Amino acid sequence: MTRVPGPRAGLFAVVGITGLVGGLAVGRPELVAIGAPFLLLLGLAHVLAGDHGLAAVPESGVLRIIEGQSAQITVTLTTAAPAGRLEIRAAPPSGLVFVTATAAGGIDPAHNGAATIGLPAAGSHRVQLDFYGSHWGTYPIHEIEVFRAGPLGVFGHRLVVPCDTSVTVYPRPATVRRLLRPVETHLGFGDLVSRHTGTGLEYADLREMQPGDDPRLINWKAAARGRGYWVNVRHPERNSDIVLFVDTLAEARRGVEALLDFAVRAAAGLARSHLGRHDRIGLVTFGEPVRWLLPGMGDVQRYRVLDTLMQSRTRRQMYWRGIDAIPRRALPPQALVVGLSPLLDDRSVHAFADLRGRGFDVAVVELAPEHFVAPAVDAVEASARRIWMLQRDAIRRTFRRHGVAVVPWNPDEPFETALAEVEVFRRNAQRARA
Amino acid sequence: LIEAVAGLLIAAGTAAWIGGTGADLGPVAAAVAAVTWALLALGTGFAVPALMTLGAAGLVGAYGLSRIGHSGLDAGAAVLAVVLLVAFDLVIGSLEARRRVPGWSRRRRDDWTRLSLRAAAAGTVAAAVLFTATVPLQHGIFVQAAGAAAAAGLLAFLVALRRSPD
Repeated sequence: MTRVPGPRAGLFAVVGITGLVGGLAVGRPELVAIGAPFLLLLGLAHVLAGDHGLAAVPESGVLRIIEGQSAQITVTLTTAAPAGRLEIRAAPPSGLVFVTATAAGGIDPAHNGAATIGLPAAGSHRVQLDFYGSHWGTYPIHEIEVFRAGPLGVFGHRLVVPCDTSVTVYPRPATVRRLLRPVETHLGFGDLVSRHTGTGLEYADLREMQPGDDPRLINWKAAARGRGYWVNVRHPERNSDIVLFVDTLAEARRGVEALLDFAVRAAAGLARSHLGRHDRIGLVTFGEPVRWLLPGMGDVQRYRVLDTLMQSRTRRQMYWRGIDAIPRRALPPQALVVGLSPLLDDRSVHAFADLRGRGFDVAVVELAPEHFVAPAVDAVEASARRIWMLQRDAIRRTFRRHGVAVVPWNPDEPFETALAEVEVFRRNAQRARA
Repeated sequence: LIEAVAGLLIAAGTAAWIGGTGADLGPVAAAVAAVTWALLALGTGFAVPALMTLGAAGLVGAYGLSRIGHSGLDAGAAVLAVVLLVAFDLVIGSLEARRRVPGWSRRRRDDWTRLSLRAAAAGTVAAAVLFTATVPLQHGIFVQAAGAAAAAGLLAFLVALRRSPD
């Protein structure tokens, strides 16, 4: 433990020395009489301020929570004598907030990253520190500080314990109940009813029985009409490839809220729901650097997606490799590419157009930056804003003309609303094509 | 806030008393006392311990100035020591109460009994020093040597306190 002087120590020392030196200088014992009590208190506080053999051992490891949840770190405090009140300070990076400390003596809410607990008896005590994950990210906690103020309030003892704990706060997934239906399915088993016929549950059609057909497929109602044997044809249940395309080239901010946060939460929600439907999920974070994740299935893939999403950062950089940097395996043929983009950067607009030109099934949920822009204060600003809105509308129309659904999503509204609009557009477009 | 106001009021009364008791350097002592009280008030208001320390030392200095030219021993110095200790303790305590000093923000505030004990101890020590100053001593050179040794020891203690890692 390290002894640290409190604010009283400096004041008492300076006043005491002033009295002593001043008294010697002007030859007045009154000044010595004023300074002596301060110096005496200083000496007494030094003698009384013991560290009580305090030791602390925090648990180490990696804790995983979702935004809005709390993580608990246990610290074992050992004292050789009753230590009284101790202050525990933990200063994780912003995004993780130290909320409370719980010991046998009770719970104390933390204030400015510090909470007070009582250790009325000697021995070993378990103290639980609660951290609230307010924003997604990975937050290492490097050290925990324990402070004990001396009895006279002049000296204290500080114990800084290295901590090897990291808290991973995963983004809170957006609620997604109805998912997009890709045009094409794959051969893997899933929950999607394929357009093609084969072995499955969903009824598709009737056809005349051929040699080799399973007799269990015979439709006996049709056969009872006396025109030969007919068998049921069914749609097989298949899965599909979904590639989430998160644009990190540009973002808009409104206070602490950023469009990228909403994009990450929406992507996390889509990944969770599509993986629940047995789809293969891939990810491309389209920024600099471009990151990708090959499509995969299962819970492991879900956490891979979340880990990759949490590396997303908006960074202004002129060096640009473009969409060609993405390997072909990351964008499998006939995959549905779901774009999450504010469409603020021309490079991402061109990337979506490029993907569509290569024959991918593309749908874009546009994170509307209009809601993050301050209202116009004069006529010039209003005109500029109107022109900007018209330009954005023109981009949307161009995409829609090429069969790409572009639906603006106001982050203040549920993500499902935008997704439903995308699905309606795609259904209508398919009908129009048919 | 109550602690800060009480401490500053006591310090203001002390400054006024110092300003009113001067002989030759009375106006200078009054001016120094007023300025240093203002420093103390600013330090307390804006939670700057360095300003508070400067103001506190200045008040002691102002008292020293006010005593220049006086021949007799001021018995009120013991009372002044107690008053200053209480005033400074209160203004520093206000920082802790306002949670303006990291690490000391949650220290349990001393109750009035503890403060009274500290004040009584301070008064006793100050009175003892004043009494010692009135006692005629033989072997003046030895007493002076002992005083110098005590002062040097005190300074060494303060330096050791400052430099000690534990």
